[in-house]
Amino acid sequence: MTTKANNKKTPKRRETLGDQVHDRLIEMGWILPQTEEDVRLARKALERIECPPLPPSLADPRRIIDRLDEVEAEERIKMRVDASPPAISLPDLLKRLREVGMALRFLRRLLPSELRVELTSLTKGKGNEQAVVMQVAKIVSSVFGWALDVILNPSAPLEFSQSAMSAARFKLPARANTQRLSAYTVYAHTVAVILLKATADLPRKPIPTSAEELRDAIKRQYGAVTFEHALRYAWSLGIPVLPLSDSGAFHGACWRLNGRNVVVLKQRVRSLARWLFDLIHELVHAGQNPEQPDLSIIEDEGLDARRLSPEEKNANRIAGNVILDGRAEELAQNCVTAAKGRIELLKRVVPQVAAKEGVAADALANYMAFRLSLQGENWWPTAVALQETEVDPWQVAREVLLERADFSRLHEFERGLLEQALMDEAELEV
Amino acid sequence: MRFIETGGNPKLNAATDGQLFALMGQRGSEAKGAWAEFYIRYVNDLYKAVHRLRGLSATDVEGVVQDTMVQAWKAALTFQADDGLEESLLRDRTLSWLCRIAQNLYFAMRRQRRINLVSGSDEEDGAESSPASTGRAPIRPGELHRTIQCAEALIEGAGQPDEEIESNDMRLLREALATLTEREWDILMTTYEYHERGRKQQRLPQAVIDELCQAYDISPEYLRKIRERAHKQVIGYSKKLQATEETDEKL
Repeated sequence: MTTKANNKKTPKRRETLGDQVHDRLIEMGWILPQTEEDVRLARKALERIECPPLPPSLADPRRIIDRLDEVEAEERIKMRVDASPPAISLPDLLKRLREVGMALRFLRRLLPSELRVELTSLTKGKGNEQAVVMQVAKIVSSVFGWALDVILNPSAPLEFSQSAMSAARFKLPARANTQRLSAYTVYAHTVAVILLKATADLPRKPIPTSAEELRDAIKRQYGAVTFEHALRYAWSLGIPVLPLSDSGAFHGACWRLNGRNVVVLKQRVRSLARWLFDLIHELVHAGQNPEQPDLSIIEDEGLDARRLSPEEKNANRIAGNVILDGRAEELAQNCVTAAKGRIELLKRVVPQVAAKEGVAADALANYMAFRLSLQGENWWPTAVALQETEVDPWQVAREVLLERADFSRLHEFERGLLEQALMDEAELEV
Repeated sequence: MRFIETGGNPKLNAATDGQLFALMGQRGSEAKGAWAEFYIRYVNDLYKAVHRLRGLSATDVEGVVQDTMVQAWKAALTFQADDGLEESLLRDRTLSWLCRIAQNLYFAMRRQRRINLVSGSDEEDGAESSPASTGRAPIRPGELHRTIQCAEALIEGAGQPDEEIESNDMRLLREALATLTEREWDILMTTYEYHERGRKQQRLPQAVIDELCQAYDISPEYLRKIRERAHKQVIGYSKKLQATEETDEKL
């Protein structure tokens, strides 16, 4: 850099040099102007540079004017909070949240690590309780859409009513009296929407709707129908797959927002065959009614009417045929014949038939469980016992997600929520 | 550059920045209109300034600009108006105020990422690495991906000159900065971000020193040494390069 002040080692000269570097950095745009003098310096450069067009998200102030309402709401609450501490203590807030299906274990999944630590400290009698109450309430408000003052008011009811869920553009399950299911569903939907944002650049392709087409497409691209191959295939169609590791609530979901599908897998049984079955099942749903911009399907074992609906049966049949090479019914009949129609013999017979026919025993067991469920028999526990569990499908799905999702598209809160959703219990303890 | 169309309330169009801030601060019926007018006046300049910052993705830039404008609404009452100034000076003053907000948001974003950006290669250039710095904390799911993205963005930002505005001084400085390690670069750039023109004793805020020391697991004394060394290296490189070029020209 050109300077006449380089010859002497006086503090003044060094400051001059520093000023020069500083000014050049402002001109280069690497540091932001902080004073009017800086602005004048930067402005010359700003007038000359070619800048990309203002993105749509910035071009119209109306797009972000809603955020001013949020600021005002926070200000109103802050005024109230500043005037008096929150009307609710931490134990009361936790109890209140537990009553609507958010046990501490679930709540911890929503909180960033620092807040989890603070929460733990508070249970040992250390820390600023009011600050933690506010932070927890803000996060719950962001995820569930309840206003902060409602959360902090012990006498205001917290309900998962459709109208209250402004952010959740889907129908809650009819069994919504089960608070845990509702709370977890809203949470999973929030995370799924975040994942859609992190995968906005995925190319979208038509989804095959028959077992044959699906099976052929996966085989053509990857050679064989395995869980990882089906997973990568789903991503290649532009369908991100979110694996969750919590127990209870539902075991799978498929949502479509503005024409983009996202699949959630949350099967407690960590078997590749079972996750493959569920994934194909959800892919079938994702391919249904492609003309509809929105779709919401939540796989809840408790809903018999839904489980036995034609759509569900169709999705399960297709899943079975994709995995069992189009022979699902034939193999099921072979099992029934070999077991002489006796359900108690199936556990022994299914692996034998699978070995003879060259298919995976756990995959066949899953299909048998589905078939028996149609006649009211719950054979799933036995099918679970026949599953191969050496490789954890949740880990496989998580790896693929981390490979494909672009976390830099997300704001800090969203990034945190998605990362926490992808942690297992042990990681959440850190 | 796509500019926002102005229009709407003629009274607000004619209002000074100080008057707009006063309306915003009152949170009355005209507050949002005042904010929208203010937004339209400054979003283009702010976007241009933020867009050139190093290490920000397109989404980050949008986020910083949006958040800055929302913060301006939040902090409207703190704006020191001086409507006696001529218009261009007023604009410079307002833009510098916005840039200070944007800078704080940018620092907060960097602070969050700095922890993830401490790379193994940095440990080679200093002898004071502690066991903690060599045994890095396990990376949580998602962080690795993010870290790689941030690092790529940093490299990308460092390697692409704004050719339209590149003077010889700037080119020399850019090349000199490119010779620094990531840690040296971060420390030197942070120093210049807090530089105050004309001030004899430049001093980083203690919180920033603590943060850098914590992020790189070094002592404040060693931080000073790294800064000195980086500064000397940048100046030395520039001088050497300039001398070489002058010799070449003579030949």
